[in-house]
Amino acid sequence: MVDDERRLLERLTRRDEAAFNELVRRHQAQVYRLLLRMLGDAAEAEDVAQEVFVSVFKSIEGFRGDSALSTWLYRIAANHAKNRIKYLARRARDAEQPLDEFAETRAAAAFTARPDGPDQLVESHQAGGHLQSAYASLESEQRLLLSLRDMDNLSYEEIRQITGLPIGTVKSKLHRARMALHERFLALQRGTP
Amino acid sequence: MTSEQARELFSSAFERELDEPQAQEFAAALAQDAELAREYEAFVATLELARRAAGARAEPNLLPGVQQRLRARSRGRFYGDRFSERLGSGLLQPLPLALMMLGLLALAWLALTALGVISVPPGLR
Repeated sequence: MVDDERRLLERLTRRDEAAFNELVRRHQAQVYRLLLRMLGDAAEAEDVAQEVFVSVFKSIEGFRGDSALSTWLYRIAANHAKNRIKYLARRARDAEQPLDEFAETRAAAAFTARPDGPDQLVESHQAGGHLQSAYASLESEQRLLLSLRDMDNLSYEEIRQITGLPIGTVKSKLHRARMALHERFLALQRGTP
Repeated sequence: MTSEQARELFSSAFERELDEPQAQEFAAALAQDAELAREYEAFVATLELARRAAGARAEPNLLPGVQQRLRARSRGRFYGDRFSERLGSGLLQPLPLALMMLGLLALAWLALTALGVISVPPGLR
């Protein structure tokens, strides 16, 4: 842990509100983006992200400093996302909404492809939509691994600390997730889902 | 190396994690099988697209919402509005202000009693 982060942590354990404001400003983008990709809905992501920071405020003493603060935040966010996904699935079941339909309706704009130029706009928009649908159809653990490694560029060691999985398992599960994403994306592009 | 074995190495090749002999075998497998080479190319393109697409949305400012939740759940202990502190310091702090108010009330009571506007209750005489 770097000195700057250690000083921030000391202030946080004293319940310094200014320090906590700084923590939220520094890390809100990473937490929100992960939750948006996991949940696929901007309002849910914002709500859970706020809960993540409330949890952090309450349990900052529980942070032992054996990883970076950002890694700890990712871990808390991932746990909150899993719980919210379970809750939403349970609610959808109670409302007798088929799970497939539920997954489709949750497949909101978690990410949007950026076209390289105007000529590619239409094609890119369609590819972005297919990628989004393919990503939303993956299991939550697969979405988490893809998000951490391929979108946030975290190291395998950081992913091990966040997920609690051994590095070898992370690599093999990530490979399966990438293959599943690719196959589903291709099927959508070909119009054969 | 069979096509199936090569497919298992797609992720490692994408991350450039293959050691030299493995990388050579993988390259040879792609060179021998045009379909496999196209598959790998498409696999890389999908991951590149996902990487480019990530984080294209603007993030909201979470701080006001977080502060509001903490204020509500701590019943004002954290992120309270601190009305008295915002008013100023010194004489306007809560305790001096309360003592000043008490003094004013006592003075008013004495003045009104002296002028005969109010009378002292018999029990206090």
